[in-house]
Amino acid sequence: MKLFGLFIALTFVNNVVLSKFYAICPLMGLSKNPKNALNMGIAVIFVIFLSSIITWLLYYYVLVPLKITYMDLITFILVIASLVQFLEMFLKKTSPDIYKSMGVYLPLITTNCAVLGVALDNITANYNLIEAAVAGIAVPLGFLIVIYIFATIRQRLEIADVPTSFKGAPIALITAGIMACAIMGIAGVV
Amino acid sequence: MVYAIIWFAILVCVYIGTYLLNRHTKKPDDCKTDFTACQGCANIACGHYKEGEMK
Repeated sequence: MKLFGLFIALTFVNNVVLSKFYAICPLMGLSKNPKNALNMGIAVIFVIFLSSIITWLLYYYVLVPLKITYMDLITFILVIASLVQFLEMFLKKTSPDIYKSMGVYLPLITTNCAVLGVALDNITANYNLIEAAVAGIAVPLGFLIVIYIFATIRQRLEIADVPTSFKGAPIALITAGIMACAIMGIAGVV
Repeated sequence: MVYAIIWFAILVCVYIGTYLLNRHTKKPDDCKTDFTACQGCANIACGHYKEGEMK
């Protein structure tokens, strides 16, 4: 039940995009087309889940015993970058179909601060391995839901009668702000 | 301090290794990247960026 509460809290209430404002770059850049947004979201789930587990293991089984926990940030950055390179190579070799659908999105994830944010939050929140794995699914799932909904709204905004000065990024940011307000409405649920 | 330097060197080597392995791995046949997805991205370090620029 505790894990389910954590899952709901991280997916909706403490949504990584709308409450912490991580991953705004891919949200703005890849939300013009719902299909691209969906592919990006799936690729993010894949990478955050793996990086969440790997960074947790490295922190508690390498950095803590060696007393170099101050190296956590640089370790997580390099591990995430290496993981993305490895995944891209692995998909090229073993799953060409998945590579075709994710190809261009995988390198983008290296610059997605939500991946690093989840890895660091797992440590600061003192999660155990299971909780870190749940966070590794819940957080990117929240990202996927938001980026997909945002992409569908932006598609409608393209044909909407928006004042000239609000066209493009300004109306998109206002939309993101209203979505953040809406998600605050479920803050008391969990 | 020594452990930190060794650990950092290991991580850098792992990154360089995975980067080179990925770079030398051929893309699957008939795999065409959809560069319209790159419009909102400014990551010039991305391998796909240079590929798209050439086209």
